[in-house]
Amino acid sequence: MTYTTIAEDTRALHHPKTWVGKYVWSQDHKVIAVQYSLTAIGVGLVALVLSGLMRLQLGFPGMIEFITPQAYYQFVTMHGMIMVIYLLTALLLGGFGNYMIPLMVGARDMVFPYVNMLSYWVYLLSVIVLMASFFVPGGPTGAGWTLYPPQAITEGTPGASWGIILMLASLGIFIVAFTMGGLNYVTTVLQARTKGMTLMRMPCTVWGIFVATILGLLAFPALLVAAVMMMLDRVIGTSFFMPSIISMGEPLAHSGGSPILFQHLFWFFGHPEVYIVALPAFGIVSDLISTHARKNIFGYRMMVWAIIIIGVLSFFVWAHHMYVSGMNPYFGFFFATSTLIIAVPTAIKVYNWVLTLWQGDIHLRTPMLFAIGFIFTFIHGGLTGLFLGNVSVDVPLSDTYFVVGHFHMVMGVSPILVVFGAIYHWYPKITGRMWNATLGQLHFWITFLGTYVIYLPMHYLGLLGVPRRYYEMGETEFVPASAQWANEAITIAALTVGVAQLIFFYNMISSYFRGPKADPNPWGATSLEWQTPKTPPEHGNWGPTLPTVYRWAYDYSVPGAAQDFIPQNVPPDGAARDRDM
Amino acid sequence: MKILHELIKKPWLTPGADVGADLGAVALRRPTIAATGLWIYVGVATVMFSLIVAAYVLRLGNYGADPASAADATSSLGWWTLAALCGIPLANDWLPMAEPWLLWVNTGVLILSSIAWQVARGDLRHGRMDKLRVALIAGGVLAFAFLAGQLTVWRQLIADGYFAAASPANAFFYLITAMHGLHLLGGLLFWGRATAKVMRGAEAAEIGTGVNLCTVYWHYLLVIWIVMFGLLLIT
Repeated sequence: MTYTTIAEDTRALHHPKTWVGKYVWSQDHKVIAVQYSLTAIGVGLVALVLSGLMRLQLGFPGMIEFITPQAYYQFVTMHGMIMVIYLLTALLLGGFGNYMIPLMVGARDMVFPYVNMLSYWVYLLSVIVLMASFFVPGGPTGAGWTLYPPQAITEGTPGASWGIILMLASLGIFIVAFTMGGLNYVTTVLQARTKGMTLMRMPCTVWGIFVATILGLLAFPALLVAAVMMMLDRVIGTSFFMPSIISMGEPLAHSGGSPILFQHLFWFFGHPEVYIVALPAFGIVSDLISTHARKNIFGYRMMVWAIIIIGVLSFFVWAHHMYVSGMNPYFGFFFATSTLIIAVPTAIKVYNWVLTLWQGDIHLRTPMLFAIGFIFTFIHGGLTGLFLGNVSVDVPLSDTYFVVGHFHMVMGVSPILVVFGAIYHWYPKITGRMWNATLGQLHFWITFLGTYVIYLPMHYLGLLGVPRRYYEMGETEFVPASAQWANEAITIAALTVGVAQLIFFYNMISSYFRGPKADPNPWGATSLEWQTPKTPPEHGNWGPTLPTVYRWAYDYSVPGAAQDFIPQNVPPDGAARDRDM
Repeated sequence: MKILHELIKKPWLTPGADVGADLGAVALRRPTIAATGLWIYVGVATVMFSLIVAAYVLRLGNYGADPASAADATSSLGWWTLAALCGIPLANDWLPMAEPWLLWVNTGVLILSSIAWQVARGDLRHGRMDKLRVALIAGGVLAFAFLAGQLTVWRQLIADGYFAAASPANAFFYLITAMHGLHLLGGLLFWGRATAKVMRGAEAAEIGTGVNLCTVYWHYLLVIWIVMFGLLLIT
């Protein structure tokens, strides 16, 4: 089948008549995107509550009775796993990827709509299996989100009986769901772009999601293999990862397996995972900054190349998570070098965002605030990454709160700020309504400033040597009592920021019903999703004919143009731009 | 490299250019959409099997090292060097597994299954729908026979005491055969779809993509099996 027959034939679309067919078993990428997003945000709220409980224990030890050491480790584990995989990965790729790719490249839908629908339902199943672990005997696993063997499956670790099995099963199911979604995203970008949408005319958002999806497709198999092998160790007693070990005074039947082997597999997935989350955020933030600064993105080609280079390099740095696990020094040298090399394309991106803002016509609307907030938190988290990338600096800082501060800044808060910015940015298109700007600003400032109150002191605690993962500190020679004051302050800030998210939810929900009707293109943006005939776009997106693309996505403030933006589907009027630009 | 040529374009200089160009075709030679999906999936599966091979090699420990230097296998170069670099202690619990003759038969059956698909593809190209039917059924039945054969090997091995928990060699054998079998089972879903269509008297154009892509997938799984089988044989 040639492209044109697929693209122009609207009859080929699955047009359900019933409400259930339209909104439940839907094959429309936009509905699936919303399903993905709401599920991810729902499960993310669980993880948010867990982090609040952890902070209560750390700030006010023993205040809440049901937070036992076991419960604490279960909260740590579930918080980490949910946030990284079931919230961020699912929301950025399943949610934004699904919504944005077809609209931004000018397609009617994903190329395999049925598989796309299946992807969501399998994802939901993985979430249900994961949540079920809260209700099984022994509760969810408390092995830490990295699930390191041998302790992940030996007796004494919380959830070693059922929790770990459900966790591994859920991960396996998630990976199946992701693979189905990922095949769609990549194939749609490669094969279903509309006329004139060359690769280098795609908005950075599509580039980010596209490369991140490829990373996911190549990295998740490592997690799958690790999960399956650990499941076999746990259930039928193989020794892939389990060494000879004495547990509870009894030698276990395992022998010869290597926990380090698991760590290599896990981080071969785990490091690209950081970029699976970060690259879509990079892409989205580029578009947000360019749109709201009314300037073309500085160095578009550099931005695209940087995304690709970061993606490739991310497969050669995994062992920097294992400096203290023990490895050949040459290995450590190699991974430290590759890690620091990644800073180059990443820094290029940061400079380009700042240079895009330079002399721009900056509109400090809520999405822009979040985008600029991201630049701050990302630079901050990136710089502490330079510390941790060096073996000799990492060794003393590893397993302290410095690491917690670092990764929350760089891959927790930063992508979340972009997610908020993106939701505010595209909400008018998705719902057809406008949110309340005052509440949006309030939400931003509490979240952004709160972030610093929460995570900056953690770096200091880490330098003092406060270890991470501890249920409570007890007495030490080197940690002064004042560290506890910092912990209390962090807890109060964390709870405040957590509760402040209610402002966001109130704003989103009430605007959905009572918000003023939104303009189809309220920000004056150039990319295709703002040029749909209807807002919100209908199933099929484009009415009878697909848009034709004549230009890149960043024609803002073009000299001599009537408006300060020229949409991608506007043909050149003869007054072409100066070729020397 | 067309893709590189594409990536060095300066899109801001050329509003209005490339409009007639057929999008994806600009960047890549355009196989059908389903074929792209399949090739991407093949990439994903290849990564998965490669990682299993990597884990296999890293788990071999000092198996095969010169017994004289077994105490310090790192002094000589071999697959154990990789494990030593990765910081993985060299285990010495690798017991080579039995290699039942049935595995050779199964390999033959899988090769025949792939050949049947190739024949089906030829029949399709020449519009010989009757012969296509026979070839399709043969391809599917042979694949099922392969899976049944693999299950029989499992039962024999278990009966002979080669439990998964007994040695890492056994565990990897079950893991690899299961993963490979599951992939073949997935392929058989698409075989079922194509065969059902042919039985209903579908035209060649209707099932062309399905047959072509299944053939590719079968050949791919055959290659994977031969690599895996080879790995099992040499250790």
